[in-house]
Amino acid sequence: MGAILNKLSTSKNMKIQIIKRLIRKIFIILFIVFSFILVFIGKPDNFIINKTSGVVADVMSPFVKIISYPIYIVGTFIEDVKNFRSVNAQNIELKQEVSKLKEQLNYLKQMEVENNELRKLTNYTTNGVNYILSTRIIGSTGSGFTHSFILDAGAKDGVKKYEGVLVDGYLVGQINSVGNNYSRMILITDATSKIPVQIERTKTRAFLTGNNTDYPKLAYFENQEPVEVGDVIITSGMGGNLPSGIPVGIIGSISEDNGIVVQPFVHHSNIDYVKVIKTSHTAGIKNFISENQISD
Amino acid sequence: MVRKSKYKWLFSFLAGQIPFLSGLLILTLSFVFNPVFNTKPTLVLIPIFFWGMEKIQSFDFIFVMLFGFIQDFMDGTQFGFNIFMFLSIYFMVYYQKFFPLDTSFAFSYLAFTISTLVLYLLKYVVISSMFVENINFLNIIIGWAILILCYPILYWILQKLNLRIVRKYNA
Repeated sequence: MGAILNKLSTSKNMKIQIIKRLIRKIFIILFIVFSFILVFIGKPDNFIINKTSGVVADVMSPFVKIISYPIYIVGTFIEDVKNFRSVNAQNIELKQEVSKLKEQLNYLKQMEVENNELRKLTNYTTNGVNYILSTRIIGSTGSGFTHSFILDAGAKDGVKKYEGVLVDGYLVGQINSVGNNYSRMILITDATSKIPVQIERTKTRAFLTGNNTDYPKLAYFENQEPVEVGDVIITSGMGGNLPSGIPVGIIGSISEDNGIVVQPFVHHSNIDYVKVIKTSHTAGIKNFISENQISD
Repeated sequence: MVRKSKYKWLFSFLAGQIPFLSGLLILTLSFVFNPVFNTKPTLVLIPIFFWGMEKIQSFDFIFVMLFGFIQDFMDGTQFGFNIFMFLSIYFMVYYQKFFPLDTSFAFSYLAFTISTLVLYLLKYVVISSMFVENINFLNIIIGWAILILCYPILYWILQKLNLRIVRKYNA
């Protein structure tokens, strides 16, 4: 009798186990289908997704920072050892460069004074003042589908979405999502990046579009004047997110098959410290309101 | 003898978390290194495949979804696709009964190669045709190739962890 009861309870347990496994299998299939549907209905620019992206970056980035720190130390040490061998030659080169930069600085100061005088005379107003925030790259979230990096600065440091990111004064990317302590930038070579630019020589406007390679292309190009290899590409300031006049790259090649290929001034493998350029529109807007006597 | 049995539950619990923690560590590590040839492999696919193959009870599909969730938001690609990829590969390896994957490295390597290739190609087709133009196909293939090359190394490390700790305390 006891043996029969034992056998019954064992078969009951087995049935429960089978049902549990079946439910688990169904759940997994449902989640797979749901996640595939989510690909088509979830928009990357959705407010909730943007906010969650910032929160996930805030949670993961401290771990990335901790793990990347020893690698950064080792990399810096190796670089210092390499540089030590050529320190004398570098010293001479740097002294010459400092001397040239001092001359340029004096010239630019004179130009600034002259520029301000001319602005007063002509009542010229600018679109705002640019501020620079320096920060470090702590990780790379890019894959074959994206070119992006995590920055060690977020909303608490004043970083905002779509602000430009510079290295040595050249544009390398834009802020894509912002957490409280960390933010993510996409490079100008990212496939989703579209920067409004212009040819410095001819002032012709176009868009610089990335393709996940080292060489983005000019797209939606207004065929006003022919461009040449070697023409410098700068930001046009259209859209209001990026200031105008920031160098981006030069035209590397022009062909019917490949279109107009641009060679950026900075390669993403050389990026360690970056500057986020922040344009304040507040001053410009206040001036506009007071000049035109606009009331609330 | 008393001390061993007193803390055995703790060791067993910690051993059970090794699959999740190893996956999380590999996922975090993948965000540290810069891209090579403009691409990076999705290394977390390897622990998901390995622990799914070993059918570790403590490594549930919820953890796989969490990895996909984190990868989606950190990558910035179309939300949901990494969750789909990770769950698909986990489901395939956990429930398949045709090949003895956990008994032969060659079988598991071949299965991993084919399944990841299919998923990478599917991701490329869906994203490039519907969401983002200009994705370079060669970069995707190079990323997949680097992932395949990393498989034996990570497989060896995970197998050591599995034999020496996970199976020992969860046997």
